[in-house]
Amino acid sequence: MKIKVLTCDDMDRLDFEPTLIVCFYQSNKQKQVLNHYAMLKKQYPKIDMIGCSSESNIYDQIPYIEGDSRCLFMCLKLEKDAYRLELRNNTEERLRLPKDKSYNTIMFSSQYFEKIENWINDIQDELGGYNLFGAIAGVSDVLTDTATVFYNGKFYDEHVLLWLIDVTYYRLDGLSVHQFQPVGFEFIVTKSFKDTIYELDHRPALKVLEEVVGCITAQNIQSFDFPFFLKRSDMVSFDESPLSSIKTIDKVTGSISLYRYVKEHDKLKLAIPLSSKEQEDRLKQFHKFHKREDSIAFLFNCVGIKAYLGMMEFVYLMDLKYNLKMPFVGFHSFGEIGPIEINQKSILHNQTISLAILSPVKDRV
Amino acid sequence: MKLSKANIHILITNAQKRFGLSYDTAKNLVKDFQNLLEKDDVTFIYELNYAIFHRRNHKFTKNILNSIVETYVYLYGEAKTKEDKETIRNNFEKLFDMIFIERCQYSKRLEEKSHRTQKILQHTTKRLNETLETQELMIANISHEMRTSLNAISGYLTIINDRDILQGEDKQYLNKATHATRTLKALVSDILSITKINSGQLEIQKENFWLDRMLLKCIDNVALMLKKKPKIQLQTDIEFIPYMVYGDQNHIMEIIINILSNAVKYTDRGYIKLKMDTHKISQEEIMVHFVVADSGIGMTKEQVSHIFSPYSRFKTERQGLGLGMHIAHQLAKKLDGTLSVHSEYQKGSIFTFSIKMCISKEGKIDVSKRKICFFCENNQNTLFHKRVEFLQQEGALVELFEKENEFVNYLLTLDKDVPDFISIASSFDGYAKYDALIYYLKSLPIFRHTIFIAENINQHISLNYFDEVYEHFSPITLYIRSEHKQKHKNGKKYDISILAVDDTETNLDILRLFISKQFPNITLDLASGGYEAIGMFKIKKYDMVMLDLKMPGLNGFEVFEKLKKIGPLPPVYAFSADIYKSNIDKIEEVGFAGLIEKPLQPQKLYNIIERIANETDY
Repeated sequence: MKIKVLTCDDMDRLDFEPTLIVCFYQSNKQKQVLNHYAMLKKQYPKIDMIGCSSESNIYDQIPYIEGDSRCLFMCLKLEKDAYRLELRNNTEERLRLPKDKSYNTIMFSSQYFEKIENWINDIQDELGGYNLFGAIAGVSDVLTDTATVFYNGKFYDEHVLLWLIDVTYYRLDGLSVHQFQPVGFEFIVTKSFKDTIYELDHRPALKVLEEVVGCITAQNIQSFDFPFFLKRSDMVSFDESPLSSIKTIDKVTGSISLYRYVKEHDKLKLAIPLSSKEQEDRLKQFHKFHKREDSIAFLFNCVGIKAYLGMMEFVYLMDLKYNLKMPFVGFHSFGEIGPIEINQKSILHNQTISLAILSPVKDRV
Repeated sequence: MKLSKANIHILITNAQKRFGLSYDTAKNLVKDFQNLLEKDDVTFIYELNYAIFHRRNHKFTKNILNSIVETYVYLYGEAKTKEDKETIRNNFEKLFDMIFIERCQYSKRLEEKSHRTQKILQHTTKRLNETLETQELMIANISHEMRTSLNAISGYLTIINDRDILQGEDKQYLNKATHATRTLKALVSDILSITKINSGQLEIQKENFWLDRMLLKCIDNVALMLKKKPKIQLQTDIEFIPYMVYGDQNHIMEIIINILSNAVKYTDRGYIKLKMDTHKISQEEIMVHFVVADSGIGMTKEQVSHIFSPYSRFKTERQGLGLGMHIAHQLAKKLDGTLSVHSEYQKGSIFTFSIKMCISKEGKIDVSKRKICFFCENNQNTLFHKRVEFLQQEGALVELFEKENEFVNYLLTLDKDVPDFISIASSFDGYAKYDALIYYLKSLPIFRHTIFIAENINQHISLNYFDEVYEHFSPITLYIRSEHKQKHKNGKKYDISILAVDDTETNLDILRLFISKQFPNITLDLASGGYEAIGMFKIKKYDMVMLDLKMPGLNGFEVFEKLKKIGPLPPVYAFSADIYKSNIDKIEEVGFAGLIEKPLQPQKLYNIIERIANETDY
């Protein structure tokens, strides 16, 4: 596997013929992406290029977090037949995967949609024991564009892109890490519609929450201040439940909406940050993937993490760079897909740092 | 802006001196700084930021800050042109902003988040406390009612059983009802223990006690369970250095009994080994390890990992709720001890309870010239012989008999040098026979001070004339000179007056039946309310009063206050099912002589009555 991570400023440094390019871009950079795609396609006619719009890009070089300046291109030369790409419209009821081979999967979705959590389960059921990572595309809050995924020359805003990686060629491991713990009593969703919770424990949801946390302001929402653990009926404990952030509040109806759909009888518990030491220990879990030969990492950080860590995110990214010792690239997303523990099932979270490591299978026959 | 060679040299030297760097490292650092200044390359700022985070050292950060300020001040002074000065100032602002200002902003954000977390925690704690209080009150009320009802049920069942009037199937039904009541009592007691531990109501009550005696009491406690499993052999390996220790005897016993009961419950054949090791840490302290090993069904690794969790009873076919080991574990922690387990599935388990205790200065072993006679019929138990050897080494004069005729002949022909203790470990049906013999011997003046002990009885048998009865073996400390006082065994002689006050008729009925059975000469007056009790107390002198605390009209505390005003009080005992620490504290505070718990434990009641009767010149 050959790897090179480039920005739009240094595309001329590409010194091998790539088979696949994964691109992360801000939504106002679509034109640039298309230009680069056209140029690359001309030069390498067999190339595939996929991508995902981001709130901002993450890169293992200064400035670590790319604002609106550049797009990132991870150029890969993969073994022939080692992967396949699938673009699916999110109107499909169930997600079926090709059964010819066993695959690890990276999944990019242009948006959150009702069935996505079912799809995540479907993929894993079909994959058996193989891994799934991914993220939901984003846009910067200063831009009004729609989030998209990119597939061989076109942008799609109601689609999911699946990068299926043949397990006989490449491994895909990793972890989703968050920095919170559940606290206090659980609240039961007693009235909801789509992503909006109207009532918790038969009382207006916002009022119930404000009794515990105090007045919730627009600033709090922007800073992703009050995440909570959302336990679906099929989950055993809050510790294995995904974190969810509040998207909006409505003082008139007393409702709150989340970055995901909610069902009646789902349970919520507020999340509070772990101690600094525990947070760092959690992040150190990534060090176990240290220095894997010919590997590359994808990093999907929640926009909430960016708001929470602020300047410390640079420091953590530097720490990751020094300890991981492999190139990494990623973006700030609006939902991350990965497991909380190695060998556990991947779920869709908010407020996590999800790392996926792609490496060649060494002892491949 | 370009740094001169002389300035670069000064900066390298400064970095070396200030941070103890090698020349090369200092040179690289200054190179990065030069790039920041000359090319606006921010690598230096990122690296510095990371170094501050990584070191996490206030002194280091302060040193960095001083160094930055001094360097820029120096360079500003050295700058020749206005443009250079401007570049240095802008550069400094950028560095200072990216490292220190942003860090301050981050800290501020953290502080705000910490406030929010604090608020969430405060709210949660408040709700948790409210819930706990409600729960405690609810459990206290429920358990009070349950204990009161259980008092009646178990009391009547005991009385019916003692009368021995039921036959065949009816007798079986009675046994089943008694068994179910016992289970219910244990359950209520377990729930109360957990509530007490969780709500911090558990009181550590330390006292001086003999270790071996305590352990034998534990064995006595599970003796009945063991008798139902004849294929289990109880093996004991107890160190015979008797220590008197200072500790919470009752809770230590609760832990050991729990472990032992568990072993009996999950073992159907083979052995249960009980071992006690002591290890002297200093002149004042010993470490005691109680080990219970069994050849029972054992546990899988997963089961072991949950054994101390509440409701962990994974073998659903066995009795109980699975609270026992949780309670034992919690108690061990409260006593600063440890409880650990090692188990192999289908092979057995080993539980070890270790606790550090203070050696009591009051416990001196003195059995010199103590005359002790042992009769041990067909007994091959090594523990028995080890005990005899120990007593002999300590200077006791031991007579040992193994044949019945020789032993009886010895007793009947004695006319002087009568033993201080006569200890009998007989065959199954021998005890009743010896009970009758002791009745005769006690009528002889020379046996006036002799203590008769039944050991290793292993059966449920009513013995009237033995002074001490042990299911397993008698503790060695029983033979210590200062320890034993002659007891008035024959309760039938007592003639004191007791006033019992309770609004529940069945409670008074049970009390009357128990007391009259054991002490027929005692006068027991019953009052069903506070005012009635006060009236009776005014016209008659009582040696003991038992007061129910929860009564309509005047409650027990109010009655107690009124009795105080009437005249000198005899020992007044609270009679209550509410055994919460807060209640016990209040009982002590107002001056009650003690608490008699419901459901009534007859032996405890008899001990209290005997003590009062012995102190009273009846």
